[in-house]
Amino acid sequence: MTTKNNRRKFMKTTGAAAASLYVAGTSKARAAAKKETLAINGGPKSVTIRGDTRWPRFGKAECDEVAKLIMSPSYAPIDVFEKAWKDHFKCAYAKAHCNGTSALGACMFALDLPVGSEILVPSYSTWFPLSPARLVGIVPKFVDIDPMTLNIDVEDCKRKLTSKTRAILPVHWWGLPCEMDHVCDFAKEKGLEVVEDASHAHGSVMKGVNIGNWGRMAGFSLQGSKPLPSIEGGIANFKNRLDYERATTFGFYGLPGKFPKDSPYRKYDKTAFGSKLRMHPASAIMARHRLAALDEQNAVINKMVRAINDKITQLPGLDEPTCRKDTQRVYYNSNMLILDKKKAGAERKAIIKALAAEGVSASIFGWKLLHTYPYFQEAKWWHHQPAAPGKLPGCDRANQTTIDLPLFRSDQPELAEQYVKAFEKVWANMDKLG
Amino acid sequence: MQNRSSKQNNTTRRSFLKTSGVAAAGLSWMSTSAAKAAKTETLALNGGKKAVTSGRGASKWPLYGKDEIEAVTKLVTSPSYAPLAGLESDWRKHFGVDYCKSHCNGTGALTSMFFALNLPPGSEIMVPSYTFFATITPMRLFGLVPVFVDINPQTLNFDLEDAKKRLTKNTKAVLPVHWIGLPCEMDKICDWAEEKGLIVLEDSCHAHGAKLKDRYMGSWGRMGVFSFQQSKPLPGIEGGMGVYKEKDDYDCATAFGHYSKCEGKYKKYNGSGLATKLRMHPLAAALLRSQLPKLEARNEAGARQVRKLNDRLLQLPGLLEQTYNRPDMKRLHYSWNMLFIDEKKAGINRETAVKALQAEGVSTSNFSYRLQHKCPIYSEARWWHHKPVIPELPGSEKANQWALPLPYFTSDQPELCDEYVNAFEKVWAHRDKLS
Repeated sequence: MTTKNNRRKFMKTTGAAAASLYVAGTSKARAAAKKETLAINGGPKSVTIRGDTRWPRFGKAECDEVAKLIMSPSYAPIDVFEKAWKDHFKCAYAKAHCNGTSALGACMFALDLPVGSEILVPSYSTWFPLSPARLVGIVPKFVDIDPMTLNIDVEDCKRKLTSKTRAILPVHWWGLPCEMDHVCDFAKEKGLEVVEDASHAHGSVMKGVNIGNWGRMAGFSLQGSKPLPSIEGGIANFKNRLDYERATTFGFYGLPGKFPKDSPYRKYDKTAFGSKLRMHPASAIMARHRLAALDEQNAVINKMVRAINDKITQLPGLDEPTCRKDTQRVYYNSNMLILDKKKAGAERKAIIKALAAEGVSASIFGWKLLHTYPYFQEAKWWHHQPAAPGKLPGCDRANQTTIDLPLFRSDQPELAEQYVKAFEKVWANMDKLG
Repeated sequence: MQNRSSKQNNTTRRSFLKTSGVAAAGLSWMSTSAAKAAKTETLALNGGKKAVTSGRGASKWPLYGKDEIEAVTKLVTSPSYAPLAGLESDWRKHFGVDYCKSHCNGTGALTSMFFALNLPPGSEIMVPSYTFFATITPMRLFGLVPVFVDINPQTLNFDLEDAKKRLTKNTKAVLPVHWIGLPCEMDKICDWAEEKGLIVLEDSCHAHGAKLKDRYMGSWGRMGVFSFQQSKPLPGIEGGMGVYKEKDDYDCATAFGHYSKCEGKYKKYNGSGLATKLRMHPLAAALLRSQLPKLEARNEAGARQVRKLNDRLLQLPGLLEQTYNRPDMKRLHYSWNMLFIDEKKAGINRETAVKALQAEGVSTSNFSYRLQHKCPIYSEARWWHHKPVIPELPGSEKANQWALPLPYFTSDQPELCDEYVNAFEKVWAHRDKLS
């Protein structure tokens, strides 16, 4: 432990930019790390503990309540879940859906934009909110991301703005909130509607405002891999009653009749606007239980990430996505790291290989940019062909630099130590990786 | 004791009715001793004893048990999407179809079916107005427009003769609905569609396992859909299935809502899909896999149950049931046992009969199903490629004037059936005074 701390301290205080400098250092700690043989060269593995990455996980309470539902089926759990969600996230209106795509699709419908309107969206994001947009004549306008956050680049939005731009769709990638204050200021100035894709960010907060409450509307996926899993499910947040009513009328034939008398959507009771998007009530049960456990679960994951990242990001050339001081993020899918290979002193592939040999579940992370999918390149699916975005240096940079580590879902301090040790070992021996 | 004697009376009445062979002749029934016996009993409406006293939970649905609990517990304990492929494989084997795709609900199956048609915007599809919205409103997402067709009030199904009158130059497809499990005359519909070059689609959301000429409903058209919503003959609480004769249709419908399952010429869309996400909840698939092997036996038991009741009730003058009287049809029952009252022949109007029957403890109503063509969305051009024609549909209106729905008993209920017959006989015996 002491040795490790010394090593880290050294690395931090040396301020050495390139690994070669660090390797040339004289610290005892560095020397100790360097003396260890890399596992890739036949040395002992650093990581011997099996990490708990199992997800989603449901407990006895979920099982029992789902079993109860099966014995006496009812849609009541959906209302119960929606109420719990609204209380938890302090949002005015929420509607549970069969999945996140449908929740976001309903938001697109609720925007009620003229056909051919464009929505700014990072090409480095998922198709989920966009695909249904075409059904209401909305066309994506692809923008870049900031490679240090993986989130929408507002500066690029300014450059890509056209006379058809009506909305902006920030995605809180892997749970890191977009800079919603900047996004909202920009949107306000340009008269754009903000819809958040919060599918990775259940419980993230910026400036004391829950993610999902910044935009006019927001959609969350509750699919099995998500921070709040229900196997299949989604939910949308709405600030305004009319948005809630319009979105709900898209996929819920039985609800418009329950809207207040003055609702313009009341008359569409029993027909809806073309779809049926009701959540499976078993999903609602699972989601409600996971909601109750959400903060605690997020805290465990965060603790594990911090135990690893606080130390390894002191290594030269290794960063994590930048999280502002006024922001509390959650983690979805992976603990993403950003590698500057020049500063680190070796190629990403070689580092991953050495880390893997040490027992670290590290992988190169690449994301297929949305604008490269045939779906977005063929005019026939769209009101008009989505424009090719040109160069997206932020997206390209992200795909050259990101590394994925798993998210550990239980408190395993020794495992975190082993991960840190593995990184330090590899970094100390960077010169051997070529 | 009183109960028993009343039961004996009932039996006598019924055995007469059964043996007399009088189908509908009011006069004959009124002159029987059974009618006379019934007449001596005081109507519940007038302070007499209720005829129906049992039957709590007789319509309970869905009927899940230990198998289903085990299946869902297993899934929640170790979540996986495996039940989806399992269900699709079971389905293909059970129904002998080449292609099928599970969806999050029947509406999702319908929506992707409309997409797979790949018809030019403005194309029209003939569909009954007497149906659930999902048979129609998803059309608008693809620029398709409904042509509302009447139903035959005796079958509540697609009226082919009416369709012939409403054929337009834009009509490209027909979409009959097998209402509450009674197959449409798909043989005749398919013949006509072929003659006119129309695509045949089937809404089989109520007809899981029903057959015409020994052929499953859903397999007559080019594509068909099923709902597994919890009230349905095969319940998954939420879920749906599309069945496809042609691989291209399967591929296209799948690409619409299943981003990771694109195949054939849609393979290039893998990763994005072509519009939305319609994956079934695997818990629904687990429930359905457990229910499917029980489907046919349950359908048959339900049909037998209805026959036992209706064979007796239909001897009363002016009472009819939803049927084609075609022996080559194997129907099932869903949600209701739908009877009709011919007020003239019955000598009592529906409202009065319903009131008296309800007082006897019969679960019935002046049932009126929402006709889609009268809903605001169809009268507003902005939701459609072009505004649908809003027609007069006398058959659909008639259905709503004469329907006399009884609950569908989902388990064997001999005593309850006796009580229902007794209630009807009592009311019919007093109908001259009630009217």
